[in-house]
Amino acid sequence: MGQSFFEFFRYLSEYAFLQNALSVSIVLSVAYSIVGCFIVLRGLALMGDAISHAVLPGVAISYLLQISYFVGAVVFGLMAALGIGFVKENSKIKSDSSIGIVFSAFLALGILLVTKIQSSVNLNNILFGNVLTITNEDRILTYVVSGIVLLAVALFYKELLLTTFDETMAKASGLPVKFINYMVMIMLTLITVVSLQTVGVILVVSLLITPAATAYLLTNKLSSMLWVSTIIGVVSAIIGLYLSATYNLPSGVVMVLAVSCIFVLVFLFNRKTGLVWNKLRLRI
Amino acid sequence: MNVSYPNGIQALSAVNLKIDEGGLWGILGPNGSGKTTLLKAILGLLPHNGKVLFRAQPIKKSAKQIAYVEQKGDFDMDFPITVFQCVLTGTYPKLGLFKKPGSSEKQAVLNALDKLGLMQFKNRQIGQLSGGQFQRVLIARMLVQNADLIFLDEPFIGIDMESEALIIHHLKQMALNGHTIIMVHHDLKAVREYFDKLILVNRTVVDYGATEDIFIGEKLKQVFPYYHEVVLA
Repeated sequence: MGQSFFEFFRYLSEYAFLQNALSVSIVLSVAYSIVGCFIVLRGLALMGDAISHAVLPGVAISYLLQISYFVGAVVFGLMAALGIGFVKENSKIKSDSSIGIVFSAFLALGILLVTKIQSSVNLNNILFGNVLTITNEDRILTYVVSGIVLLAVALFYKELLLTTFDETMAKASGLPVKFINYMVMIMLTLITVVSLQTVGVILVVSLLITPAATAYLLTNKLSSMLWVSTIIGVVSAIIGLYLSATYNLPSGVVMVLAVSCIFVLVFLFNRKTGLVWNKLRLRI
Repeated sequence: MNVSYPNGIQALSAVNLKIDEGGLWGILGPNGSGKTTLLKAILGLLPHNGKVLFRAQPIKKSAKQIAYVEQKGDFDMDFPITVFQCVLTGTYPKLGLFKKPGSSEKQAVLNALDKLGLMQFKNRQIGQLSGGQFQRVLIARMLVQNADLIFLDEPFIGIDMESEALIIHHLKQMALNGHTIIMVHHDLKAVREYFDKLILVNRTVVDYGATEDIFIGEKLKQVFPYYHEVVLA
């Protein structure tokens, strides 16, 4: 293992594609770990899952029209988010059901389109991603989108905090709650779409939620949660990329497994709320 | 003002209310009479027909001058926020976009925590507080907001007597300093001691005015037909 880790760094200094993959993974993991905190605290985890699946028809149509996949994916992601809100607000149906209805319809349409245009769309890459094959254009797009999202969080930090913690007070005292809520949905869609290259439609929600949920178990302050989530996201992205490059494994899948392992360790062993410590404390 | 729920049920009808500035107002009424609905409709948190004016302007225009302390049961007590930060959010509405709280805002938070006896808890996560302590945190946040018009929804439910005494002391102090405080309240025994003025609610505003004019048998009978005799005895 030690030797292969050394070799990984040697390859890293030699191969530009590996350097690109590492820089994209780190930048992206910072962005999704931070946005993920707000998604987890707002109870929007299922929405993230829905948006990631709903972008599939957008990706397929973009290939058909020969435009960037990003445009189609963002349009369909936002359409799904709005559609879910519309069904929920105009019927008795609760949000989990409206999410289920809308995203499976979008996913079905996406699969249909991808199957029909199989020759030009690599379904495997859309479903599972591969950061090692990322193009220069997509790499720059990832930096720009991640930068915009992180800037938005920095500029609107206090509004994001208050609307997430106490939306009623925020509304009553005149904060732009609707604007912030739409901003969160747009950030979620943008990060989901740029993460597709790394991890694909199926697993992107794991990277959004798991670092943040792990940090949630460990921290008492939002600012600490953002830092811890970022560290967990970056570390698992590096571990994932290292294992992926060294043992020729799919990058996204290994990243998801790495972050899931960190979650399990924290869930069981953290000193504050860990399951094992709680059991031991009860015995003592 | 009329307020209907999405299922078509009329929650409040023909509400007509004029509140003079200053003083501590109590909203009284039985369960389900629309007390919280009235607060939320005034604040613009529920859709309604009618107008709500504050200083002759639509109330939304003065939102930064308004504080609302909702029931403590509505909060996510696992949210990663400390007592200090929670109270600091009270400074956010007046700060405006892109501005961060500075030393004067942080000092105001420390003063409010001191007034409410919360200094030793300032770094605690809110879930590690008792019900009374958390209610005091919400009042400290309200003090920091320093709003002209303050609404509270049943702040004394499930809290200890010491916290209740401390909170009512500060509310009375604010009312004396010219703030208008409107509070939904359920314990009829403390009404005379706590409130300058009352609003009786039962699916509409039944009556309102000075406590000595409203807290009398014939008026209370309209909203508490069985209870009023016991309370006034």
